[in-house]
Amino acid sequence: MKDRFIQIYSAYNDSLFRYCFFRVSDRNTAIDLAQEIFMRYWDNLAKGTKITNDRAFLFTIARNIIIDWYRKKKAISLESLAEGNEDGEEFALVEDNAKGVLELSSESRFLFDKLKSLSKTSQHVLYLRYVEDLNIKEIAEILKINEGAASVRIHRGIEELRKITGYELP
Amino acid sequence: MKNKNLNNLIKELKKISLTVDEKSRLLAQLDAYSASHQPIKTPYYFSRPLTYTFACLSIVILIGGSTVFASEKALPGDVLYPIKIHISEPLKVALATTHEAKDRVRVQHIEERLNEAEILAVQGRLATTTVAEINDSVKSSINSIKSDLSEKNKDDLDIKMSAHSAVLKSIQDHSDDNQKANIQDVENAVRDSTRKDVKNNRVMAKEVKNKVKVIEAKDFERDTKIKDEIKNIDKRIEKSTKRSFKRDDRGRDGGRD
Repeated sequence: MKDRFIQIYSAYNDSLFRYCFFRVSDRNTAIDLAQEIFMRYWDNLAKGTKITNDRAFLFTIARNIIIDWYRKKKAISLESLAEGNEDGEEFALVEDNAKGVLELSSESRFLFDKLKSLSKTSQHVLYLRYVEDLNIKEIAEILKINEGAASVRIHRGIEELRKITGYELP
Repeated sequence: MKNKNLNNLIKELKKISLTVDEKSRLLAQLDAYSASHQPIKTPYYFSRPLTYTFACLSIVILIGGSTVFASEKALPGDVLYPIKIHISEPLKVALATTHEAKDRVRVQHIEERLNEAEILAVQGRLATTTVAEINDSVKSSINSIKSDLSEKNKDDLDIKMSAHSAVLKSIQDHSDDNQKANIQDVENAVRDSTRKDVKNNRVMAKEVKNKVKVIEAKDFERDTKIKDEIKNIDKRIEKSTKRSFKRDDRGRDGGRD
């Protein structure tokens, strides 16, 4: 069990840290959240939870932990409360511009700002698909939707991005 | 050029990662955590299937048999539906003693999913999400039992599925456009699960009549329009099967087209 844990930790620590980082915009907080994710993963291994896909399982834990974190911080904006989350989705790429967290080239900066202007649903699925290289089955498992719906969301996200940037995702 | 910029953005985003020190520190903390949270093997360890069976039985006793009984009529979206799917039905499979009995119960559950779809379709409440759940459930259940069924039982299953297909088509003819597409999705899943399309034989006709009776018998509060619709479905099916009986009597092969 320990070997499996270390193997999984080595494989996914960067991905999970990055996912948390883009959600909370603070490096130390993202590290703390990543630690909590792996602790919960260990707890599930210890109690014998059947895990068919470690990566999808970890991202599901990550999503839940981040939602809890936001609720504790009461950082949900009035705007999102008023419009309601799309299917309960609270994802949005966050960046603390004052801290200059992300150092990107000018072209990348332009695209990243465009990415942040997409709907939350589109941001989330495009991030999981193209930055974290998750497949449709994994994305469906993480977002608790069926594969057809995940595929539709990705397609819509690509269309949305194409409309505002003229760029095509593969 | 444009796609290259997008690819560059993705590459730059992927570079965001933990430093070597951060990884080591994190691993050390997790190591300490795992050392103090080792799995404990209880002396009362049961095998997983047995544990689930006992858990289900305990839940049944706690909630009360009447609730489980009431869940029999639940449809997708009803409060008691999860009890029907996750407690009542698995319990029936667990309580069946032989392999064949278990398969019979599983076939009943497959039919129950389709009954639910048909009732919701008649009520105009068959939603896209429900269709996806029903189709997944039917496909995976059929795939899990198909290889174990005898040829006779496979033929019986085909007859039942063909009968459901006929009922769904009939309901679809008199549904709103938004329901038509959803009903078609369920009917497609049913047809995909059928080895051979059984048309117009007496056994199938009897199955169809049974299914219509099930729809009628379900206790739902609707106005006479729905009940009249069900009677019309029954009459149409009876008409088409009477025509097929006449063909059978004239000595044509009515078993398979």
